[in-house]
Amino acid sequence: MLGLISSLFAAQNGPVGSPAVPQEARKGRRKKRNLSAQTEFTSYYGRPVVKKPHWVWPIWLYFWAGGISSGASAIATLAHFYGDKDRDKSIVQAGRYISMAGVIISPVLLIIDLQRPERFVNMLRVLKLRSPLSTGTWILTSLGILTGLNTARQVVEDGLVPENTLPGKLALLSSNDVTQFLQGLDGMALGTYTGVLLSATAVPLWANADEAIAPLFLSSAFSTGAAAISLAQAVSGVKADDLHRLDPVEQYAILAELASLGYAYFKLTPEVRKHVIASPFTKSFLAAVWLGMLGPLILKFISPKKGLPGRLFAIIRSLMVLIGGFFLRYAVIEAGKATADDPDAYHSITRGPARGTPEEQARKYSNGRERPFGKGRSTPEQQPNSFQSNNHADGNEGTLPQGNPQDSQYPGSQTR
Amino acid sequence: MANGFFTDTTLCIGCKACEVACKQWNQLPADGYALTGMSYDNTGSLGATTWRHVAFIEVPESKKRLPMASTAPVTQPPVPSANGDNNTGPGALKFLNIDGDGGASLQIGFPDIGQWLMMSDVCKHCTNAGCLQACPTGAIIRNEFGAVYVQPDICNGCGYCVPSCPFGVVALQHDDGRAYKCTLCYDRQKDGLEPACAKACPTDSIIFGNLDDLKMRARQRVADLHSRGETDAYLYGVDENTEVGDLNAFFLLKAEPEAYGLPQAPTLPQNRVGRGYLAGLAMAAVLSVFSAISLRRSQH
Ligand code: SF4
Ligand code: SF4
Repeated sequence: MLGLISSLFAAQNGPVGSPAVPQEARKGRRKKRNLSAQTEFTSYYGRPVVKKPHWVWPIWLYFWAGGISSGASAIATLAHFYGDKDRDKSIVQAGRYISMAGVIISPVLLIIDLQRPERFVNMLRVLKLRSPLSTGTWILTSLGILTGLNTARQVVEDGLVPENTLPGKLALLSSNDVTQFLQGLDGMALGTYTGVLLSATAVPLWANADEAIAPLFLSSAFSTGAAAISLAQAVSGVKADDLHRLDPVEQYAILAELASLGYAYFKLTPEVRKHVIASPFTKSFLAAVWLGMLGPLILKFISPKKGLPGRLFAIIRSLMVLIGGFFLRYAVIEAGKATADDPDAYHSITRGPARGTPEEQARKYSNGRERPFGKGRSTPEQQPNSFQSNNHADGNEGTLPQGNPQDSQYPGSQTR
Repeated sequence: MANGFFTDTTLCIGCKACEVACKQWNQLPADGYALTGMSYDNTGSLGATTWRHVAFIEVPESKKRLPMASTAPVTQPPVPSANGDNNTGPGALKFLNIDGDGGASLQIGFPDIGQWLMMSDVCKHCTNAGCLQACPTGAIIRNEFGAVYVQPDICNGCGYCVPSCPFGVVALQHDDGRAYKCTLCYDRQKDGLEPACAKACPTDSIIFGNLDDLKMRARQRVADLHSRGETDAYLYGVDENTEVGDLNAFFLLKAEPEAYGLPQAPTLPQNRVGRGYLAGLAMAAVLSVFSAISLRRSQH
């Protein structure tokens, strides 16, 4: 029965790079795959096929703090360019400080997580665009520099360092609209790459949710970033009139989060989805959804807008979003690790094109008397490696090759 | 010129000589006496200190016919079995016809004891290797012999290669902190020697050599087995068009890949990178536009 269910998914989860195999062939495989063992093996004694990462609390915290930093950078930049010069000053201010705190904590957490922390600089010897961890290292490094520049300007503007001293002058010189714009872009890249970091692994939950994770983490970065800024505004006594200006941003982000989460959920195969809806981490997922998304949305409509109660409710909502954001990172990482231990989950996402019935197999390897590949495969000409040896006049078929490989009589020597 | 392994599981007798030879040559520490309790497999899986792993799959009694050497129907001579004249059901004898030269033939009876599938697993040294592409330090390289090699002097133990291998091969060594896996005996190959496991394999179930030769030999072997009626034999890891490409260490299998703990159609994790960034940055653009509009609109 389970096989039948997974076979339904097989058609949708074939590898992208594989040649188009007609539906027919795929269905046929599932039905009559009578490789001689009559028992259908579904896994190797239930042992894990892929290995899970060693990530624990430093990575949960890093994804969370990095997300806040990413969202704060993006929102500070948006407020800098599109916000009201006076009323949104506190958004830019809080956004810069928060993202600065994030980019100081994040590398520390990442280095703690390395098993050879003293070698962290080795990350900076290459840039590999296909390795999200490599790209991410550079994103984090550059964001650190950009945020540092813009925060230095903020420090001077806040009067913490006098403008007419050398550091003050330098700070004002080295930061401008361009660095702020770049910080915003880099911040969004930071929020995105943490999702890609997960989807570009073989861990079933992450690989299966695929392109849904990056938007999920990015929108969560926006909502937690907005929440952190609102929280800072509310506790630092910003005028009540200017207090709720980030609420729409937070709500859009939460809606985007819900949409991404829903999209991810429906992408999952039943074997993988099991680890979301019926596992020890289900509670964490629910906490992420209720505390971080639905709760604050509902609370927004019933909370008072004005006065001290309005401020208190804003604080509560911000805290809920922040805690929910942490649970989201925790649940996605830990449930992912659980799916890596589950061979059924991994096999459910790696079903592929047909290996063929015994008859097709026999034809494939029948010494080139027929085309070695079935109709669904590309032609032997397109497959430089495929076996299509010379039509044996020497009657040599069905035996191990004899003779010298350099000899043109050697079966298959013409294939190369 | 890439070298690799062809592991023919039909020849494997489960002696674990490859495991031992690998541990010996590469000076890998023991893993302790952890009994899995499920079969003769007490290694469990590939890991940082286990670079060859022999899997044992027990096909239960009566679930599997012994292979017949001739395709002609075997007439069973009335051989008395242990408990009288019972020639069917459990304890019955199975017969194997062996055709010799000059028409001579030999018939051997076996008690039906089921069958073992044994397979010596190893790092596949993939053409498109997930671990290599994931490594942020560039510690993992493809060496001059076509093997995927972790340079221990560069690896900083980030552990990202571990979940990025579609076959669950590479792992972090806990006391040392770095990632380890099969090197395809880089050191031995430099001295012109074949890897220790292939050297030790008493049945030549593991053959080491130039990949083109190995592939041809493997295809011949499958054709040979098919012509002898073993139509379930197939090659795993060549001619398959999966995202990871041809495997430099490939296998001749006789059951579903899942039975051996292998994925049917492994995907290359890094093929998801582009999609991920596109989706994430598209979301960033949408949220930025909405946020900018809302910040603008609430000005007064
Ligand atoms: S099998 Fe895994 S560890 Fe070996 S080369 Fe392929 S991806 Fe890397
Ligand atoms: S653990 Fe070492 S080999 Fe693996 S990805 Fe990290 S730096 Fe590269």
